[in-house]
Amino acid sequence: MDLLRLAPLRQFLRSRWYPTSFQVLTVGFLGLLLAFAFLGPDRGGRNLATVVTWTLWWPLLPISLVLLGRAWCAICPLAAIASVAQRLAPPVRQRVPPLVRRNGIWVMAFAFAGLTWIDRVSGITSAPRTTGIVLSLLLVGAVGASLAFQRRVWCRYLCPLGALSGLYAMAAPLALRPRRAECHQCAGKDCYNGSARASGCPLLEFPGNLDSNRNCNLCAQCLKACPAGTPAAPGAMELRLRMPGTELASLRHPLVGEAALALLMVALVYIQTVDMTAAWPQYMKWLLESSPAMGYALAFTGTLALTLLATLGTYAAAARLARGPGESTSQSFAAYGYAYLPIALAGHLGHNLSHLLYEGPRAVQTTLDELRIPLALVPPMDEGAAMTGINWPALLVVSLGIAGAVLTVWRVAGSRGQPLRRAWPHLALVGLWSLVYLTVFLLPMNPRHSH
Amino acid sequence: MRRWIIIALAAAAVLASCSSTGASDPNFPAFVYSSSSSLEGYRIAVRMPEVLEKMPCYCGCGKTNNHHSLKECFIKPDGSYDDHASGCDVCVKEAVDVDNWHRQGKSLAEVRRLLDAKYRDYGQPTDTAPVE
Repeated sequence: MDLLRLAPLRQFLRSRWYPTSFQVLTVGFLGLLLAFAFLGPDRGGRNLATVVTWTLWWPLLPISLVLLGRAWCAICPLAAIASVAQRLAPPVRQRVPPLVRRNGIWVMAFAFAGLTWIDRVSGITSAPRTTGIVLSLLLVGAVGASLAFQRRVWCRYLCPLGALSGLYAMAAPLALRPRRAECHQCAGKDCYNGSARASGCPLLEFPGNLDSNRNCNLCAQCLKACPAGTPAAPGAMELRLRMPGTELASLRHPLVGEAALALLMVALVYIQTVDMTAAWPQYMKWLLESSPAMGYALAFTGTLALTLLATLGTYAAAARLARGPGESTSQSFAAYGYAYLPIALAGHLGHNLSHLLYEGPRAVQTTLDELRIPLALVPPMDEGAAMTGINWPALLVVSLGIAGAVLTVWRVAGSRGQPLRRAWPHLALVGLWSLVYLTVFLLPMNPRHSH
Repeated sequence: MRRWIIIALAAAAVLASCSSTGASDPNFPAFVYSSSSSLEGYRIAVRMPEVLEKMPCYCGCGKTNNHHSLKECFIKPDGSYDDHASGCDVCVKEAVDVDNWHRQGKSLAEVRRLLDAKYRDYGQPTDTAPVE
């Protein structure tokens, strides 16, 4: 189904109001968050910056990615400010250095792992000033990259959330795709090169060949630039509504870096979740009492590093065992990695669903209080207390993710012309991770902000 | 390869030096180990309970947990550990500040004054007696 056949939606996406009107709102809100981060109360649970950033926006981001693809990236305030800076500065002609192009996915993957590490060692989520510093550094990075390079190099190759966003967006039910027959007849390629109507794709993709959501942020520049598009005609692009997750098993160009990131996300979501349960302090007590000289930061770092390495190592072994005839390990590694994404994605959604359901209402109340809006919607709560009981919605989401992973293994095997029995190492590994995730999600979690 | 090993060892050394060792830790209950800052807070409470006893806590625990001083966020009147501070950043931050000011040689009265000045906007303090 092509949503661009709906005239009001098509006209809105092609208008100058999209995505500008949303960007104005998000930029204004970012300014407010930065002001509160540096000038507001130095108390995580009561500061608008920490509450909105970590209790509302952070959990809503993966939900938005899985529903709307990378649409958030189109209205991201950092990118919007960077684009304005790029327009105001002297024109830059600098192309993306090959080093960045080749290794961007690894930079983004390890930057995201680094964010997890910094959070757990220094506690960003409950530190307003540190939150302000992190947001400012991201802004400096985005503006710096936009002044040095063409278009949105930051979003595509450097943003710590970029690779994750691209990966999660592949599972989304929305996909902007070209009508190839029309695109191949087009001589100007305005959707990439830009024209008087609109600039070219900011993420340096040629929309006429778009076959994945990984580098499409639904900014609609291609719709505006397409010479075949008029207010009355949809042009050469379609906004398709599809079954969620179908792209994961049908990629024409699976990438080793993305496959590795999918596995890293499985491990990171596991660590992020287990360290908020009662099992974590027991493990750390045992570890630190066994090796008293180690110290907390080193114990956490070692645990994180070993978990990531063990996850990649076991996956590499499974990829080697599941190789088809004449196939290299790296080809097998790249193809099956996406099958683990539903587990990470569901775990991420389930984890954040727990926070949203438990802390979200209180976070909304804190936002109203900080903005001096006299509206009492939620009574005070003991924010430091652990959530009790089983979070059934989160467990349901994780179960659906596991089913999605098994289905994707089966479909990847099918798309490669392999019998399912050849994929047994992946089915075994998915089974192992399923057990781990289900066990962890049965444990009560601590809230993100303590009081 | 050798360069990476050296970098890894250097990083480990930096991390080890960043976090104080637990060689002299008492037998803390597991909840103390929920985070790096929680462990640090309980270590301070064990090291200087007589100082924390003179300091109020501003997290609101006077009302919700019937605490009477910052010490009770970590150690109950019967000497056992209270899990409250393991989930409360305010208690831990106060303990760290008190420890820093105390190490700088400030008197109890000065520490108390500084604590009151820094945290008075956080909320209702415990009913801790003033420092003479």
